Amino acid sequence: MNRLARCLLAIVTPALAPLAVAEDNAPTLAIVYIEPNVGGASGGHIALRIDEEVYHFQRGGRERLELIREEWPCFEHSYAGLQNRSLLLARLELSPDVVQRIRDHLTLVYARQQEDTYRHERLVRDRAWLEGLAGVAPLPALPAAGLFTVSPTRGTGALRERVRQHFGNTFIEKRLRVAEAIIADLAASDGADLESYREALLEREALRAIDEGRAVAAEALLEIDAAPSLTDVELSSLVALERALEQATLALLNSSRPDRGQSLLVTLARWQVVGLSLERKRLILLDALPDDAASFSPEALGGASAVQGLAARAARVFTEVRQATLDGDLPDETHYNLLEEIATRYQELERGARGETMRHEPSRLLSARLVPARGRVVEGAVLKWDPEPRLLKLREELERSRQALATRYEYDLLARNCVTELVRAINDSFPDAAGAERALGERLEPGARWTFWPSVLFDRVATHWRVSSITLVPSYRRRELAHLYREEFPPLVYLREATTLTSTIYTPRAEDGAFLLFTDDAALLRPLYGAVNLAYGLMSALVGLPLSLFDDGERLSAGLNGAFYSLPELAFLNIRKGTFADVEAEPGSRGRRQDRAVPAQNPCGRAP
Amino acid sequence: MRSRRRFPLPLALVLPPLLSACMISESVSVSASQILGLASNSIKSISNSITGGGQAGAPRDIKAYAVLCAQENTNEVEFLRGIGRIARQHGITHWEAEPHLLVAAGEGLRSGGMSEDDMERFGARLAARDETTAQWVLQGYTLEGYGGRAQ
Repeated sequence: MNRLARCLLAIVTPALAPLAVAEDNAPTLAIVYIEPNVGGASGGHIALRIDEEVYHFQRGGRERLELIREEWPCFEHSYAGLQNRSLLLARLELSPDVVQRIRDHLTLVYARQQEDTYRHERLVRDRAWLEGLAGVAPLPALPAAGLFTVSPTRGTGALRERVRQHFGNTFIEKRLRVAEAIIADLAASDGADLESYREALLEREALRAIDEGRAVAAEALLEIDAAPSLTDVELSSLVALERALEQATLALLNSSRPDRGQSLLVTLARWQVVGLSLERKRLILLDALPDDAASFSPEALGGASAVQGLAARAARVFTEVRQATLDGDLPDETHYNLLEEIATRYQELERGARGETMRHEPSRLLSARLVPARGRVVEGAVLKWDPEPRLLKLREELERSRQALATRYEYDLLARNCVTELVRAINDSFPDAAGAERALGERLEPGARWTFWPSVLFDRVATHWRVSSITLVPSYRRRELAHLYREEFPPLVYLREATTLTSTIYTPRAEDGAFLLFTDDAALLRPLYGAVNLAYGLMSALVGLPLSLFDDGERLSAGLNGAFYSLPELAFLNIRKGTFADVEAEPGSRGRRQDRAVPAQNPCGRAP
Repeated sequence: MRSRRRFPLPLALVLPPLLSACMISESVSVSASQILGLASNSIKSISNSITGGGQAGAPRDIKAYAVLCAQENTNEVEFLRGIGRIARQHGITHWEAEPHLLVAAGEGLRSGGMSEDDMERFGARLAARDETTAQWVLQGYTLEGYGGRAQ
C-alpha cells in the first residue's frame, strides 16, 4: 500500500469505521501500529505480532525500556479495548524460517532481560537478608514458608508415615540435619552464598511441616463461598490429584535440585487443601497472591458497581476453568495452578464488588503465573562474624548492577524508544545486514529517516518491506459506533455519540481530561470541534480552580489536560479518544452483561 | 558516546509530549487491565493452558535461558535454579516431572554454542546431582535433526 493510500486510510477510517471490519486472520508476523491517545500514549506505539504473541518495548514503572511479551487477545483487549486505540497491522510476507528466526531472537532478548532483572533482584534480596541477619533491619519473609502454621495440628501426619515407609524412619531426620548444617554454615562463612542459605531454610520448613504434622495456614486458604459443592466428576479429579501430589512430594523429597524446598512446600500445601476439599466436598484452594501484593480501592476500577460487572465475568471464567480442570481426569499442574490463580482474582473482584480493598500482584510478577507463595519470617543463623564488610561489598555490587541496568535498558526519546528497539531487535535476528534486507525487503537503521516515530516507521514498513496485507482493528468506541450505525438511525447515532455528555458508549473519566466532542471520527470538522473542546477544557479549569480546595485540583487538572489535548485538533490532528475502565468483547453487548447466559468470547482468551 | 540527533528548538519543544510513545499508561494498564485481566494473565492462560496453545511457552523460555547459560558458562547449580525459576513463571513447580523442559534446556545449551567436550563435563556434573535430569538434558543437546543455529 502506498503512502497516499495509507494516509487516506488513516483519515477516512474513522468515518468508515462501520464498514472497515477487521478481517484478522492471525498473521504469521505483522508490524502493529497503535494509534495515539492521551497520557503516556500521545505519540502512538509500535509492536510486533507473531501468531498469537505480541512483542513490544515499553517504558515501565522501573523507568527502563523493557521488552514486553503478551498474548494477542490481551494486547488487543488492552489497547483497542480499554485504551480505545485502533490498531493497524501490516502483515509481512516472510518464510516460516525467517519468522522463527525473529521469534527465537526476541525470546532470547526477553530471556536476557529476565535474567538481568533476576540477578539484580537477587542482590537486593541478599542485601535485605544480610541486613536482617545483622539485626539492622527486619528479616525478610521467606516465600512459601507462610503456607504452613508453625504449630502441629492435623496437617501432614499421614504423609509422614508414607515418607517413612518409602524412605525409612530416619530419612527426614537425616535431611533435616543436612539442611541445619547448611544453615549453620552461613553462621561461620562469609555470607557469600545466601541463596543456598534461603534454600536450606525452605527445605527445613518443608521437612518440619511433614515431621511435625503442620497444617496449612488458614490465611493461605481460599474458598469461594458462592461456588457450588464438588460434583462426583470433580471429586474423581481431586482423588487422582491427591495421589499425584503425594507422589510429587516423595519425588521432591528425593530430588537434588537446589530449589526443591519451595516446590516441596507448595506441593505439600496443595496436597493438604485437596484433602480438605475431598473431606468437605467443597473446592478449597491456595491463595495465589504473594504477601507483597499491592492493594487498591474499587474506585480505581470505576467503583464497586463497576467491579460487580467484572466479578460476574470472573465468576463465569472461574466456572469454565473449574469445569475444564476438574473434568474427571488427573489435572496437570499448569491447569490446577490456573484454577488457583483465577479463583484468587475472582475472590479479589468479589471483595471489590462489596466495596472492600482489592489486591493484585506486584509488578515483578506481571509477566508470570501466580504460584502460591505466602511468606513467613523464619529465624535461622546467628552470625558469628561481622557482616559490615560483606554488606558494604553487597551495596557496591548493587549500585554497579543498578547502573548497568540503567545503561542497558536506558530510554531515550529519539535514540532508544519503543520503535528503535523493535527495529534493532528485528535487525539483530539476522546474521548480517544483507540477510535482513533479503528477508524483509529493506534493512532499516534504528531511528533513521525519522522512523523513531511510530507512525513513520509503520509507513516505512508499509511502503518498503514485504507487506502482504494491512488490516484494521477498530478501537472499542469505533466498533461500538459501527454496531449502533447498523442498528439505529445513523444521523441520530452520530449526534448522540459525538458528545461525551450524551454518548451511550463512553463515560467521562478524569484521566481523559475534560472534553466535549470526539474528534477521532470527525476528520473534517476536527478544528471546529477542537475549538469547542479547547473552550470546554478552559471553562472546566476555571470552574475547577476554586474547587481545588475540595477536590485536590482534580477538576482543574482535567480541564487543563482537556485544553492541552484540544490544541492538536485545531491543526486537524487527533490524539484524545477517551478510554474505558471495562469493555465487553461482543459488539453491542454494553448494558446487558448480566443477561447473558452463555459467556461471550472473551477478548483476553477463548473460552475453553 | 552515542551521538544524538539535533532538532530545531520548536520541534524539540513539541516532540516530547507527542512522542511519549512507549510509556505504560498507568491508570489504564496497571489498575484496570491487570485485574480485569482476569484479563492480563488468567484469561490469557485459559487459551494457553486449556487449549494447549501455550505449552510451547515454558520450553521456549527454558531453551533461551540455556542459550545464555552456555554463553556465560553458568554452573550446574545456577542452571538448575534458573530452570526452576522459569518453570515457576509458567505455573510449574515440579519440573522434574516434565522431561520436555529438560530436553529444551539441552537444545538451548547446544544452540548457545556449548562444545561437546564442555557438554560432557557439564553433563557429568549434572549427573552427579541427578542422573535422569542429566540424561534428558543430554538428549536435548544431541537431538537428531536439530539445526544447532547459534543465536
